[in-house]
Amino acid sequence: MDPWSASTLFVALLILIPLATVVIGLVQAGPKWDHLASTVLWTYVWNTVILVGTVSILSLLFALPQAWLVSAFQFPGRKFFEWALVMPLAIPTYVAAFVYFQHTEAAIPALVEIRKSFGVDAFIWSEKILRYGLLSILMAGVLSPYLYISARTSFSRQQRATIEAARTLGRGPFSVFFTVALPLARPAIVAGLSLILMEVVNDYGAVHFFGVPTLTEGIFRTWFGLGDRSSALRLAGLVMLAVLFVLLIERGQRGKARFSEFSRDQSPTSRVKLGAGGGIVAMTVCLIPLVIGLIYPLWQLIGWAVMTFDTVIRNTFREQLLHSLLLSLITAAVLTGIAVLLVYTSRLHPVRWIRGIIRFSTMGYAAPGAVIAVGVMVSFGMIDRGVKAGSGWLGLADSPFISGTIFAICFAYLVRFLTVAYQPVRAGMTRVCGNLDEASRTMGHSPAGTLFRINIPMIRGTLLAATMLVFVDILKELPLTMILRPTNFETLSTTAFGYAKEGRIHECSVPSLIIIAAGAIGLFILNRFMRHKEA
Amino acid sequence: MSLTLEFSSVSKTYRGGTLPAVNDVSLSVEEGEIVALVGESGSGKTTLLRLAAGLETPDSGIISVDGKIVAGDGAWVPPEKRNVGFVFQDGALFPHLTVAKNVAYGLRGRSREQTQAAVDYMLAMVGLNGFHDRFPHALSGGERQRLALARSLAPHPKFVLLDEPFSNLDPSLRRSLREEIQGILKKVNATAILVTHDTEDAAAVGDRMVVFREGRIEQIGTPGELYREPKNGYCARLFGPSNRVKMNGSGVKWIRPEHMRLTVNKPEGESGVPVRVRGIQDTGRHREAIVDCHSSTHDGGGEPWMLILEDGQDLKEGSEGWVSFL
Repeated sequence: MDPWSASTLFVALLILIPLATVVIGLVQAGPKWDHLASTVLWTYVWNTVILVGTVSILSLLFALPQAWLVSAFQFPGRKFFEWALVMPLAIPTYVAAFVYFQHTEAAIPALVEIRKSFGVDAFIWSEKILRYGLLSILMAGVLSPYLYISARTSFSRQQRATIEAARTLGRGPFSVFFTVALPLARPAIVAGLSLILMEVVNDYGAVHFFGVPTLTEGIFRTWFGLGDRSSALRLAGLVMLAVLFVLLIERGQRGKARFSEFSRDQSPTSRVKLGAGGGIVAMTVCLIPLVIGLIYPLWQLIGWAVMTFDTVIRNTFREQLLHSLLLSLITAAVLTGIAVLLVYTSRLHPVRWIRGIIRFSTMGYAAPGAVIAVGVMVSFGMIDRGVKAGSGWLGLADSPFISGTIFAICFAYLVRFLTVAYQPVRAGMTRVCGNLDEASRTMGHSPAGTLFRINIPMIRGTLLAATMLVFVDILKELPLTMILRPTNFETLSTTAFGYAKEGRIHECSVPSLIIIAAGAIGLFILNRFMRHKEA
Repeated sequence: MSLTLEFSSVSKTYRGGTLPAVNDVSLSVEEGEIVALVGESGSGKTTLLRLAAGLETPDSGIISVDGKIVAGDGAWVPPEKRNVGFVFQDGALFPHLTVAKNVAYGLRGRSREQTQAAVDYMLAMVGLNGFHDRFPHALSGGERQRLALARSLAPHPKFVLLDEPFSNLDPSLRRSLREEIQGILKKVNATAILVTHDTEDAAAVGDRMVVFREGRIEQIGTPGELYREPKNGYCARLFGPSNRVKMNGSGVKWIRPEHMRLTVNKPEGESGVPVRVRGIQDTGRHREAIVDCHSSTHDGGGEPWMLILEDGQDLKEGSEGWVSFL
């Protein structure tokens, strides 16, 4: 085996360690498992299912009409909404939760009234509905852009002729939506929804804040509350199975119904111009999710930041900021380097087993952060114990600990975010390099020489963009970082979450806004990539 | 002459493909010879080129250079060690390097002056003098292909492989570039394989032609041999119209219209074949007659013949005539 395949295989094996640990953990019941199963397990499951359901429904309302309006109609502000509706993605769910949580407190007087007039049951129910409802709305507000993007892409790529045929057969634009556009966009809609589902399952900050214990929250409680590692691992295994199941369904339905998704006719369907009344309706429909997911949280956070900026900056904040930026940047650069290795290996050896292990290595994005963190923690703990036993036996002094180190957390980022770097690097090399590396090989340059003289110089921009994307993702990651960070180690996201948890809700606005700004930069990069792809 | 490149019983099936792209192909290329591979797209000719360069690995068979095995039988020489020049269909020029640096890319282990001299020499040879500091995107289509050729020839490769080098050019440019490239290849006495789907390109540039079909070699010969004596209908039709003539006793032959003559009267002293005219088409250049043949000695095998109607021969649809062979 040549060094390229060998190192790709090595990366895959490393990534396999935590994931395999989680899977193996399924068969092993911890001491508290029976207790867990008979009490709170079903609460975790039901909360997750309910939340996924409500967020999905709300996302359909927040994204589908908007995507259709923007692609099929002409109305004032259409161009603005076209890109603005993507922007809520810059706000992580936990940051939105900081903003919205105050309203559950503001509702206390009203709840007290309900308690007085309708009794304790009504009180409990309305309090629950308030919390679950608000949480669903804020999550749909910031996550629905996933659905918006996939639906809009599908609508705008649908064959112009198909839509026009429906129009000539006597269907109005609204009827065309339900009879042609929507059914054709189904695979894209399901793909968008599955992304939302993964984010909901992944979330730790928002559900923790709103007291809605989902499976991810359950992993935290079992590990840190009950102190039962094995049961936490088993829970993580169950979550991963559930996510895999959903992804398989998504893939299955996509395979059967790809329709004319990528038609060759790229000319966009001409947009129907809306009258004054229609225009106002369209603008309102587009404005609602935008206010919920972007404008209101941003407005609120900026207000808080103005109030607290000086106190926050005076604290240890600057040091933490530096920590967070440095860690994210270095890890992102390393990840991009590994992505280059994988992409280049698959170009050198376009064989099935290489493709297989690469597909496996980039699967981590589907696994929730908490699941990966638990897998890394447990497997590294085992390695530590092994090393300790070995070194004790050999009579060595203090053995190195790898769990609880920066290395462990960076490795977990690798498992989770490798695909974020891999996708753009692969697209870039395919588009830009074509057969240039083959040309270089026939001219006497080795694979490594070719990589550094041809491929890397040619995709410098792509590499920078990929690094930025991973950087942003690491910067805002919360659950994985919470579990794996070394003691006294803070990133922007943990700082923000820490402030919020201590009730210093106004102070969390500064780190939150920095995270949002970084997220916005990431979205701009992605947007440029998508344009390239379409061109 | 010594053999430079030899394929023996080479086969290659692409992943996901059901039919082999190259199927049990044996071919030898002699030093200083230009071999042109022709065939329809997908007939496996480009795959053979990529196998020669080491860009693909054969499933079975042996490829050897100067008697030394480079692929097959457990041996493998990677492309960078094969000392080949490859001219890609689209040029595959490095867009981030200047014209001079593109040419210098394959020149390694040489002093600065040597490299400089080699680059100057190559660029002068292909008529790109003074283009040193331009970038590929600033060149025309013909200039790009000439640069690609200069780049591949610069390291003095053992043999040059050209993959459809003219296919992206317009017809007039194509003709002049083809002559130019042939001249250059002959000047440096290069051993070369040219892949093309255009028989005119192949005949103009190649010393020998190899007809490919569905991964197999149909026929090998000089352009003249292939034109005059095609082995079968596929080879015959690559060069334009050809008539299937079945003669009693001597089997099937493919005969070009210009080697047959259609007359109103039975030719004297010759064994003419009676035919009936099915239709006449005027192409502007000449008139073509489509005729049916039902003779006891000759037969079109169910297919009509196409013949060129000479001036003064008064034939119309339905009239009887005679065909003689020249």
